[in-house]
Amino acid sequence: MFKQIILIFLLMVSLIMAGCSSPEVEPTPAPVSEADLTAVKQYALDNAQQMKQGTTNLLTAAQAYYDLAASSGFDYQAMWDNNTTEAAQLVADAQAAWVEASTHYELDEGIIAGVPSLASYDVWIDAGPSAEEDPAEAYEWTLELPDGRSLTSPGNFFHSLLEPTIWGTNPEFTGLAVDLDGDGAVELGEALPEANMLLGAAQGLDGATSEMITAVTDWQPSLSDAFTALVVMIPTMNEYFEQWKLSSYIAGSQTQETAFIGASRLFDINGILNGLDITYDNVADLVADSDPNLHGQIADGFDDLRGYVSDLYTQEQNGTRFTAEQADLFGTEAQNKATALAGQVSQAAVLLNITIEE
Amino acid sequence: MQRIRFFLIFVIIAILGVGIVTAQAEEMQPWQTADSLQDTLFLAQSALLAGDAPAAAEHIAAAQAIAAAWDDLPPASRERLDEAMMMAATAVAEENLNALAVAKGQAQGAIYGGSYLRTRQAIEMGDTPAAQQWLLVRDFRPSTRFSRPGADATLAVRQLTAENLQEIVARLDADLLDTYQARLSEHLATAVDTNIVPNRRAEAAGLAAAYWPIIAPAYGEQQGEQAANRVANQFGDMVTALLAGDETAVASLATDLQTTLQSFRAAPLSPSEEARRAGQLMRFLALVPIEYERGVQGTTVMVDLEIQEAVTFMQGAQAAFADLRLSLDGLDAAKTADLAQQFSTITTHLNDANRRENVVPVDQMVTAVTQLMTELEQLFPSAWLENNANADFDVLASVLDQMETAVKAGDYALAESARLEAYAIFDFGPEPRLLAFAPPLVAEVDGLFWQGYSGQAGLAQAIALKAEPGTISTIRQQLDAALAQAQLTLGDLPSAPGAIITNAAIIVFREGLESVVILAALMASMVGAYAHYRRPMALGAILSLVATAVTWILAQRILSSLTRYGERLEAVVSLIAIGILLLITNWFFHKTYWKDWMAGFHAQKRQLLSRETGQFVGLLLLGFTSMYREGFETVLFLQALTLEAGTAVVLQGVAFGVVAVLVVGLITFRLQARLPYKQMLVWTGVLIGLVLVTMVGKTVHVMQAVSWLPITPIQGLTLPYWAGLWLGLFATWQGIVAQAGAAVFVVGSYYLAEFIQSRNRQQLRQKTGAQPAIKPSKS
Repeated sequence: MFKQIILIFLLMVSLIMAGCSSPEVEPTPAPVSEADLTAVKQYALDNAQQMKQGTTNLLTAAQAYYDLAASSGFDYQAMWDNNTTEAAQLVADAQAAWVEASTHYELDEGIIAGVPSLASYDVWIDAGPSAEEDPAEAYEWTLELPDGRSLTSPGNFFHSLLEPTIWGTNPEFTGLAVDLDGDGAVELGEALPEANMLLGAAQGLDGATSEMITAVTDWQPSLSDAFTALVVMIPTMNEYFEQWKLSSYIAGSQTQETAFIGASRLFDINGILNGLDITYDNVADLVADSDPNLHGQIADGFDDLRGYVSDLYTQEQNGTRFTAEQADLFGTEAQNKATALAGQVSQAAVLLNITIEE
Repeated sequence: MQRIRFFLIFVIIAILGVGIVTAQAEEMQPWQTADSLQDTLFLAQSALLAGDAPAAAEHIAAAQAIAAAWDDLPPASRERLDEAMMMAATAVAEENLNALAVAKGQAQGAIYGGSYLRTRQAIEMGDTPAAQQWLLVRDFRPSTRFSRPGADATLAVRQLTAENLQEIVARLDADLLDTYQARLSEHLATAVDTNIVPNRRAEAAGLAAAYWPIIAPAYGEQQGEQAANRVANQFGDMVTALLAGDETAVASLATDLQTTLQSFRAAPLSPSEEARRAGQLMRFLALVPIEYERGVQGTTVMVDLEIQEAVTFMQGAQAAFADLRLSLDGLDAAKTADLAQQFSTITTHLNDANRRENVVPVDQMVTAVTQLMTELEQLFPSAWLENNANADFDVLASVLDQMETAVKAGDYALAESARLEAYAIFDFGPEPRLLAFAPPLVAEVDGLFWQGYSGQAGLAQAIALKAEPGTISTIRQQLDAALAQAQLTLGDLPSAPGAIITNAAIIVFREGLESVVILAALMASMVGAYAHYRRPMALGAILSLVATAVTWILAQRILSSLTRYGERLEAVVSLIAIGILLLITNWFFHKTYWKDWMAGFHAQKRQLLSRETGQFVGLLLLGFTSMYREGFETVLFLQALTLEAGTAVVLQGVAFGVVAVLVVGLITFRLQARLPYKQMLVWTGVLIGLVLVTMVGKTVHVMQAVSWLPITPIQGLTLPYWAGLWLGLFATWQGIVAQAGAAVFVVGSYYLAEFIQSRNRQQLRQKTGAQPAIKPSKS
């Protein structure tokens, strides 16, 4: 009996080895995964939900404005003449709601635009060009307006559609340029929006925000997401500062830029860096464990870059008007800091064996 | 007068500041000092731009104090930094914003140059902490589609030991010199661009001029010191011309300097890196017509994504060609220029197709790429054409990128095609060597490419189920980690004879055991009157050993042509083996499991003898294929070892392995012979069945790998990787159905045998009216 058992055992072992050309072993160590990115997701979700509050308010204002315009037969002069106070208030409400929504989006943008699985929302909501501006890069979608018109690949909601509509920087989206603040002059940013455009875009933004919230809710953040967001989003300072330079905050009324009038681009940059800083904070321990000096350099780099942009924004808010040359200098310096910071984060990702996606 | 006042302010502040800053600097890390200096210089720039010259002067003085206290920079860098500080002070005194920008750029370059030298010295002294500290002060190459900011130096410094100092220095040079050369070229382009504001151009010119001393020694080594000095002067002239507003001179000098930069490589590729680039070049090029053919019909683009993939692979090939250009020029400049023209033509065709304009037919594309590859092969040194695992991994990663792109675009058919391409690159390239040195890694990589490994789903399954891009990405990350480990393993193979002997012995033992178990199972029943059936099987086994030896000799010469067939060959051999095994199984049950088999044998002896020849050939074939299948695999695996350590060392391992197999074989057959015959028959039948079912499962898997069978995952079923390895069980309907069919065949064959035997006995009883004369054997 003993021999039988031995034989059976031997044959079974041999069979197993015949079927298995190699012994089972532990798999290759996966990239480190100790970081808890729940806080990053929660941050993104909180801001997305506050953004939604803004888009809801915007939709409410846009609907009321549309109803008012409809009651005047979309004759904006008649509407302004007969309902000056109400129309001005609705435009102010729309502007405030836009700023509210935009502010919270910008706080999220570093994450939404940097995480590959969420990045399409950034293109749709905040960053994508229109087909007219860049046919190759334009996001393919169609905006349906209440009057039945369709706009194909019209760009992003915030800066291609709503900002030019609410602040009247695109004549096509403007009902009538008026003296909203009653100071006796019709200045840049003072206009009655074209009601169809305002309502259609506000409805679209509200819907897109809901979709984005669902996507963020479903998002399972990974270390690769976190490091990809950092490496992809940090080094784009030049582009942001260039937009700032061309905006009304630098170029004044001579600006050709239809966007970045509702809020300074510096505020956006601040928001983006805030989101990225929070993202880094949540992976910082891993980097510190791997290379304390590198972590110190990255943490200091974030503080430096954030402080730098924040300081410029504060100066701007306090009334400083920078020149184009200054904006260029500041942008170059910001880019230098960002290139270095992105390079350092890349080193950390490699040390931690974390893949940075394209 | 104003200048004198500013200089006095500098002197006073600098004297006061140095004392304070010296104490701080001693505690600061190099990167902190560098950042502090740069920030202070920027404050001076901002102040001067805002028209506040006194504030700018204060900042410059503070910067000078920081620089003066930084006494551990190498002397040459210190000198350049001091010059930059003086220039900055003069610029502020003259309220010359552009000159200040130049000075800031030169200070930055001086710091980077000093940091590079200090890192190098620390490595040469084996001082890892110092090397790590200084390496933090560096510039980075901006990322592109094919390159991320380099991290080779960071990784290299971590691997520093007393034995590999020179290797680490070489890796540092390769990373940093390459970075600074690329950045220099970028800064030069900025400096000459009149659309950019003067201030930014001036800083770029300063950076370019200051980066030159970092790579100048390499240029001097290649072109001579005089030439290096001449270039340095040109940089100086360009800065002067820029500050003087002489755009003609700036443009002319910048053109000359760009030509100089393009004519040399500060960190020349090592021979192995050249071979790697050459491997990438050929592999990427080979993929171009494949994608093009899939995307174009006639002169019409049918699938845009395929064309985009072709464009991407062509870009990869061009990047590799650019890296090899200097070396190729050295081999044959005229030919290289002609090849560059061919690259350009093919790229134009691909770009046309990408725009759906003037699409060339597939034949034209195939011919163009084939000609280019042929001419490249003729020009390449032979060492570049050898197998190159690193190039395989590079291209494999790029193809996996395409897979993920296709997934994101929702084109899962294209993703599956890219996955199979990537797997084929792994299968034909690194896998054989990896099987010899680290078979567990092969299991992991295979699992992640297919149905999963250790709880992680596989790509084949995920793509077939149209998983979300995030899910595919997660699998990809795990696969990347396994591939990185595989690459590391192949790049760091053990060369000690002991390790090679052990590996060889394990391979032979492992494959030998497979043969033993099959032979033991089949020969178990051949006892007593049937013992002579062992002879043809044994003869087949012996012949297989001879064939294996012949294969060993041939493999030295035709290994590449054998591996080219890869899994297609394995699929064909496996199908033949299954066919024979099915025949044998059927025969086994019909002849072995009759309950009154021993009695029946005597009655049918004559009939059996008449089939003797056919059985002899069948058994001989079975013995041969069972053994040769393993022998063939063993030879392939051992080739990788012979490449590393030579035949003599490997044969020692083979000898150990053979002895171990013989011992286990003897024990098995001896114990087997002592088992009660009936129990042995039962176990033999079960084992044959298991062998058959496993072999069918694995063969289906192989046929799926070569696209001979489709893949339909069984939703909700996740099998552990060992089930595939041990039992050929994979969670696809094709595999499971085929294995179920094989199992039905085995069991059905048994019952059919019983049924026929029962019917024959009944017919015999009806004919004779007699009872069975002999009871079933109890032995």
